[in-house]
Amino acid sequence: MRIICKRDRYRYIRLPLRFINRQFKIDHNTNFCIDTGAPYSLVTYEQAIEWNILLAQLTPTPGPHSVGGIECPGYYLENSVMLFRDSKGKLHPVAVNNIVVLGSPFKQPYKPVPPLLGDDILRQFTLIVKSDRHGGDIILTDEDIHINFPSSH
Amino acid sequence: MATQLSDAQINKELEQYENDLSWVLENYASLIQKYGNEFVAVLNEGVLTHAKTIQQLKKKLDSEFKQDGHRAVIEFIYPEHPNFVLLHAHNMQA
Repeated sequence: MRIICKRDRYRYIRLPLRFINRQFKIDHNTNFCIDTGAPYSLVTYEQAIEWNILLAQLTPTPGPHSVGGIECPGYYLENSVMLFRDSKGKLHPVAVNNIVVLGSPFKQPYKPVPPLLGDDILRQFTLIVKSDRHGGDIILTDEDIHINFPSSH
Repeated sequence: MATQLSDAQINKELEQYENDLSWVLENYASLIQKYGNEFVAVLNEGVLTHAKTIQQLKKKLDSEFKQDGHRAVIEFIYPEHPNFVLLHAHNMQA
């Protein structure tokens, strides 16, 4: 499969997907920001409100989370599924056993941060970011990509 | 899965969502002019509604748009580069 991502105005990479969770009856289209530097993925506080996630029913994470200049408590949401839609229109389910949901930021007011698709999910795929002179496409794929490097001596 | 829709219906909705997200990204400059620092809900390549907070937006969507609101692209419109940096977590266990 090959999934084509989009760049926004500020060059953050967006991946549209459907997020499904049975516990909270979540079945929503949304988009996550691809963040290869993030060790784990995040659902934002705004998504939690949009999707009626009752944070009090979730297990808190051991510590707070600092992302994009804001600090918030976190909670584990279990047993979710992300549905990716590939360039041929085929759906691909990805099990998300545990994802962190951010709670209300400690300091108000604040600027919302985007939901992050981090290494816990990205490590299942290969991310190709083409240079601007080669079209600038950003592709997430489960194909085995071979690049031959010259051997070093 | 929690979804009650068929794969074909989900596919159609996701395709529409992708088109609407593209519309948001392509029209971001004009969205900044009208809705900078606000949340917008976009459906069928147009703004359905907007609000200062996500709570206000959700209230509007739930009361006025119901299923349409459910399918909309929800975005916060950053008037300038948000300069997000790395994710840091304290005491997190993988």
